[in-house]
Amino acid sequence: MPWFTPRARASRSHPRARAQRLDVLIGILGFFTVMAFLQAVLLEVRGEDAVVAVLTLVACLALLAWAYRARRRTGV
Amino acid sequence: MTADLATAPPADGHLSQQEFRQPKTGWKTTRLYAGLTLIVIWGLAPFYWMIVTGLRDVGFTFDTTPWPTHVTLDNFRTAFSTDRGNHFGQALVNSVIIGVVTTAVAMLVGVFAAYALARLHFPGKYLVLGFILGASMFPGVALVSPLFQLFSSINWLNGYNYQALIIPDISFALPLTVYTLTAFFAEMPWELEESARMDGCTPGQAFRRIMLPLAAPGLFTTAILAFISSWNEFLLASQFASAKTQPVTVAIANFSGAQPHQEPYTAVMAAGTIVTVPLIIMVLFFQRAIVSGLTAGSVKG
Repeated sequence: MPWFTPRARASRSHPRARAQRLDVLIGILGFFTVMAFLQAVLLEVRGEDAVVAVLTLVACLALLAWAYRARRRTGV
Repeated sequence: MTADLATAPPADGHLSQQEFRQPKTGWKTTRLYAGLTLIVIWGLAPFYWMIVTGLRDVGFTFDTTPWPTHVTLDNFRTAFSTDRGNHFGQALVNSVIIGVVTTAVAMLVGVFAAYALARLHFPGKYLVLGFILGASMFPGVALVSPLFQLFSSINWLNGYNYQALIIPDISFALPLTVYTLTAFFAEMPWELEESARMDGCTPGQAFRRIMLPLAAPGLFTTAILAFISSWNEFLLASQFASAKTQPVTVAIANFSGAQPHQEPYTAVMAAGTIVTVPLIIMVLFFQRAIVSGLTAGSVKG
């Protein structure tokens, strides 16, 4: 199972490649965070039930924060 | 001596180019062709069944004979007939208009965006790519309700308002175009552009005169993908199309039979066959342009 050996793992995780992958991930999460934010604001302004929208927004923000931290740790 | 050298196996154990190109024989060939046959049958079977049913007499719609029986062209006539309120001919024209405009706009914007993303170095480049990828992942059904409200309020849902179908289609075709072309431009040799710049071209001239012609295969392939995605779009078109702007996908879904509540399967299949033909013609027409390796060996003399 070479996929799980430390060497194989190390070769897959070049800092620059990892940073690029995380940039793409942040972009995707960013898009969905913006959408969730718009949805939450719209529902709040209209006075409708926005619990699910806000929870979705919080989840997106948490994932975005995790991805951003991971991106900064790459040092690139 | 020369003959000995020619027939002797290579010292490093690797196959020569000539040996590599020699066709495989025996069991491997059989497996290869069996696999290819299976894939071709798998891919073409639905289309074949569509043609067979389209050519079958209405009274034998559910006949399961695998080859054409009770052959008639009446279904094709019925598809184009306006007696039952079907406007298939007009819908074909509408689909062409929507598909061509969507593809043209998506390509025009997509080429510049993709070139910038592939060639320029700026912070957050991959962030923008991720954002575009995220936009392409967004479910289309989520856009139906807000877009319906918007288009309804600006009076786009009646008459010849093709923009109500073209603009949402562009939003789906553009991420596809940008992402595909970015990958294509990134693989092109940088030295070509640098050589053009050294010969006195401005960045714009290098792009227009050198890179764009060389990117023709990628551009054609991407344009065909964008056109197919627009041609086959149903969800948004079913909501935003008026009677005058409905594309073929919606027109076929609205086909009415001779009796109320009777689904005209054979006419639908005939119409489906007609709809598929332009795509096949387009791919065959641009087949010569869709060649890989146009830039291979262009740098090293």
